Amino acid sequence: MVFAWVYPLVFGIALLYLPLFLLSCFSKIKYVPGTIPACVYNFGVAMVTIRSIFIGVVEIYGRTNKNMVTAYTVLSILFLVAGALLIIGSMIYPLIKKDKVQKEA
Amino acid sequence: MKKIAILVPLAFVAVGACFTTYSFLDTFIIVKHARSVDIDNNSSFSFTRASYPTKTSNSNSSKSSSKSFSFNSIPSEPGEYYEDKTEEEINALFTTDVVFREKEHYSDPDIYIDITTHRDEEDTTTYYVADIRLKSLENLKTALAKDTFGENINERTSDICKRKKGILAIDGDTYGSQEGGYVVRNGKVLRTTKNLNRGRKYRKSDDLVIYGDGTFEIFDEATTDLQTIVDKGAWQVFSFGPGLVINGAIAVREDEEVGTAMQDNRNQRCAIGIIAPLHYVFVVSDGRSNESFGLSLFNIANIMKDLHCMNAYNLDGGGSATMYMDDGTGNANGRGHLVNKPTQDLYGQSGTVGQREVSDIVYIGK
Repeated sequence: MVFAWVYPLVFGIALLYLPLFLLSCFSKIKYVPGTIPACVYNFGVAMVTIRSIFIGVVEIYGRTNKNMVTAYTVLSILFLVAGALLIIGSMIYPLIKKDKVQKEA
Repeated sequence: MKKIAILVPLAFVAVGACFTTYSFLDTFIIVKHARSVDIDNNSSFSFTRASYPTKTSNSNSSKSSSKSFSFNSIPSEPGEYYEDKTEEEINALFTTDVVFREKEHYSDPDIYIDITTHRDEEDTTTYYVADIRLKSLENLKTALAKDTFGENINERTSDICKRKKGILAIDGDTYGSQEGGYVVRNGKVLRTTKNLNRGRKYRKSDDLVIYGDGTFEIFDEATTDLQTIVDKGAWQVFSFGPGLVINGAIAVREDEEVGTAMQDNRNQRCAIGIIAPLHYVFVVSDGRSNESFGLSLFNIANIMKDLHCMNAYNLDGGGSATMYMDDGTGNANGRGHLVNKPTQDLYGQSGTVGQREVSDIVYIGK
């Protein structure tokens, strides 16, 4: 729980928005994630953060709940991976399409 | 498109909120595996009386010894018990009629309880020692919240004690907060699944068994099959821990803590110990208040050792630590009262005394 603040920092800023920002600064690629890819990825970040807080609260009260912790872990990984793939896909797809159009032209 | 930009995030937030709410409800509120159990009927359980040395009238010194203890092993042989009274002196402690003095003393033909209040060596914390002698182990019992076994079933220690017409009660191992851990109550096996990770660095899975001959043993749940313990005549089995004193030697390190402790390592504590078969101590300390800072596991272990406990075991402390005394009649308007000052505060802010609801208690009763 003590490190709950680390997850949005790492998964949100360090792994996603900072690279996109740097990409737009140093290349011609300017990309803003669409609503759905961003929601899916942000949901994963939220789940991993809430997982950390949940484990902390449960431990404070001397309880255990392995099933819920497992559910949080699975959801976090699923949505983080799905969100990342959607974002990368939505970045690459226009480039591929543009390339194809140029070749056809 | 504008609608998607609003509705999709809202949908995700709603799903996340629902899931989070459910997870907390599942952990703290939703009752699981509940079944009504009758653990008061123990006519089939066999009680035997262990023989142990008593001070003879000609002897000037008490018999006591402690065995050396290796941190990573469970000793298999009991040491000698401590006794500084002759058999006549012990029998004289029991009284023909009920004698009851609030927060201090209870005695009748079968039960002797004497409660004293102390301050620890550093004068930071108040703790209460209940010295208990019994004629029969049948009077050392446990009870479940609402007489129902399951998770998230809780009741105040005082309410359970009053319902059972108990005389002295402390909270138990709060089995209902854990998904595993051996549970045997009044000779009945209630749970056989293990709980090996209790959030501690050392002595992760110590359990306490009280046998039908009145002796205690602290064993490692990880390496011990419950059936072995039951076959040896287990009357009660608790799964909280760690063991504080094992065969007369302190079994915790100075930096050791229960994995679920809220702050540093100074908290309210609840412990049970055996001085000799049918001679026990319940020790409960205050904590997290301006008057009482709290004790570490090492502190409480030293207290139990100083009380001459051969074996002592840590039960659920923190806000659960409760010692309640009553007159055994179960009357709602009777003389029941809290001995210690349980508080749910984290940092001693309000000093409000209030019991936490627990899943089980250990009590002395008829």
